[in-house]
Amino acid sequence: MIRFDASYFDGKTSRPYPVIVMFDGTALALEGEMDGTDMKTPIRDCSIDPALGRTKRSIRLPGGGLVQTYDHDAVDAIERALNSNRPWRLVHFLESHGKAVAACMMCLVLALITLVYYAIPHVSTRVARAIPPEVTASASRNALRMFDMRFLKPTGLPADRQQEIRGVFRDVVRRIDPSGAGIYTLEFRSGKNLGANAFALPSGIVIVTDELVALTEGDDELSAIFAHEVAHVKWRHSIRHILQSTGIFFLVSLLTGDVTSITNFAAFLPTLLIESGYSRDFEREADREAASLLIASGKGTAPFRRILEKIDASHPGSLKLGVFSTHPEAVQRLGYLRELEESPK
Amino acid sequence: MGRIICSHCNCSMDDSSTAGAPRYCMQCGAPVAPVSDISGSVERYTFQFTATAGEYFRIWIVNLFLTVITLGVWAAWAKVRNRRYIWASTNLAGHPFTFHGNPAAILRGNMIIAGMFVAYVAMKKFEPGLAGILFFIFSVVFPFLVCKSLRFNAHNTSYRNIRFRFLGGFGESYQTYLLFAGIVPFTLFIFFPAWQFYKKKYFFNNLAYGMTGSAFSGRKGPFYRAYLLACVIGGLCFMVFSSLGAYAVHRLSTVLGNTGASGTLGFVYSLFFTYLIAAFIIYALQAVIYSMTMNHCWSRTRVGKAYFASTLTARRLLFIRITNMAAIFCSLGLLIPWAKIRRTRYILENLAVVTASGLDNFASVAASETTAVGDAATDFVGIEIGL
Repeated sequence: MIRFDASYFDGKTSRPYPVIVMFDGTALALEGEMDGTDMKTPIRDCSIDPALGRTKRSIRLPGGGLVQTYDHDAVDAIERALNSNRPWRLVHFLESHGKAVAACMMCLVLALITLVYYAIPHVSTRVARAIPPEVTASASRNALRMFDMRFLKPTGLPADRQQEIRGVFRDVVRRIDPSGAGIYTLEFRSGKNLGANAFALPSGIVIVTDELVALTEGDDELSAIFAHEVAHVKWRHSIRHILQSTGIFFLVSLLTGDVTSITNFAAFLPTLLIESGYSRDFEREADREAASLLIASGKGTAPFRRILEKIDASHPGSLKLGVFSTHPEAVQRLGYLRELEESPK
Repeated sequence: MGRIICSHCNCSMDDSSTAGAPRYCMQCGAPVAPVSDISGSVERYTFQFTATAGEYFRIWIVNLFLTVITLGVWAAWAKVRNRRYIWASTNLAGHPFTFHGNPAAILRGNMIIAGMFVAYVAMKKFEPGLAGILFFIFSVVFPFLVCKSLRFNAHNTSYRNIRFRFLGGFGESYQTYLLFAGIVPFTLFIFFPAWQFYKKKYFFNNLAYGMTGSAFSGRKGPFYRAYLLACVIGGLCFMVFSSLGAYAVHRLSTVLGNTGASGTLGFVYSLFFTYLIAAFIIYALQAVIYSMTMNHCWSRTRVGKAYFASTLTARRLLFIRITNMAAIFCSLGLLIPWAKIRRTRYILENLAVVTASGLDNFASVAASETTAVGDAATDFVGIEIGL
């Protein structure tokens, strides 16, 4: 016989009735001063709300009545006798044992590391491969129009020089991405504020500024730049970046409980860190592709290193943001290229 | 110390005056009756929050782990678990609230929201021209979701075995969240405080506890006062800090000379401090607006013969917010549960029900089920409702 004090609510009014509940193994009996005092309810018709911390336990009676009590031991015993709420009892067990909580915390950290460093990049790469570059065509056109309006001016290069450079570009495309060669086009612009720069849009448009062309000596340096940009397109870096950012956004939303807190400083900072880390990985991948092209043609990574140094020197006072930067620092890139030359992967 | 209620505007307040001295209402300024007339029967029930940070942390972290390893599927169950704990730890006159939300319904809602989000990202990145259409669809669907969400939350909350209800209709929801929201920019945001008022009115005027509906007699004046005060404070802070900043830059450049070396690091630091100061000012303004409008709304809300009194102060809200953010930041997020409990405790323990006829005589109606689509949508776009 289990006996405990409780409050009874009939579900019709908000009035609480103090009662004594008795459980004889098959039925609940309530003893109190409300109407129908000697109520006896078979326990199989009742439902027990799952336990949650040390909050009050609730037993729901078939007629809509409710019994609430702080006597956890008594309700636990009834619950065990009924063998109800089994999945929730497991969750409650995890929540109420220090060691289980600690284990969950460790596993959570491991799961997060696996997701951020392995699962999200891996799945994004797989999905990106299935997305044809054509879907980015209109977004790329818009991006180019925006760049033309705000950062770029028409090129000042003579037509025959353009023709020569296009030849170098076609050669690079043929060697890096022979199967997708049709989508690549080269655009010349004057850099205005951007200075010596080259960038690729996901649909295969590569833009090179006059300032960068002026910095290069010989076709090998141009080839290195083009190889880096073509690699960005070939490996679908921009689609992967979108997918990975979306993944991180979902993950942060799960962790913080709601999406709006992403604007909070606390959630914004780690998101930025992870995303700039991904971006640096893409740069390294593109550098590797360009390096292997140069090494394969017997020139080593020296031309690539030369042009990188010149580009870096042409942007004095640029911000060194370290872990927040989208590109690895020039020193690191040069070191990485030298390493690749010594032991090509 | 007794409680008195203004017969003119239903505002309730502490009676701190000496015996016999005339008293005036804090809200509307009308003279109020001496304490001895009504204090005999009026009782004040303050909300008691019995949650502990340790207990909530354990529930939170276990369910967070389950959510992450199930790639978000468990999020619906985690939400129910967390919210049930908060509700069950909220006591009024010795009895807790109960959350009844069905995880499967919340899961369905999460899936629809996730689908809409993916559609939005895909549109924005790949066909930016069509994103406008999507925005249009969202803004048409949004008021529907707000209404559904308020209904879902109210229907799934009970106290003393009687469910709450939300009686607001789609018409008022569309008027508030589509029509009024749409005209705000065209009134140069002069209408903005009034829009906030209508949002609160939609919530406070349409609640019901069992059979007993709520009545809301709030006014737009306090909303305009709150936003005007926020504008004045914000404007002053902006002027002070921008002139201080300009002065500091001027001093630094004359003292140090224009060396390139200090530029990079200095820029990052100044960006960081600008961000911190901006966050501080924004939090301060939010605290001012939240405390003033919520105190007003609660004091003008009545459920049957039960009145409310909310005694939040902007200073305390701001202090809690800033220390919470600092704690979350320094603990890499582990103190999120502690911060949430702390803020909820402050808000709840400054809320009281004042009534002359007790809490035992509310009657119930049969409850109906609603789906949780709007519930997740509300979290997604961050509508702050009620408690």
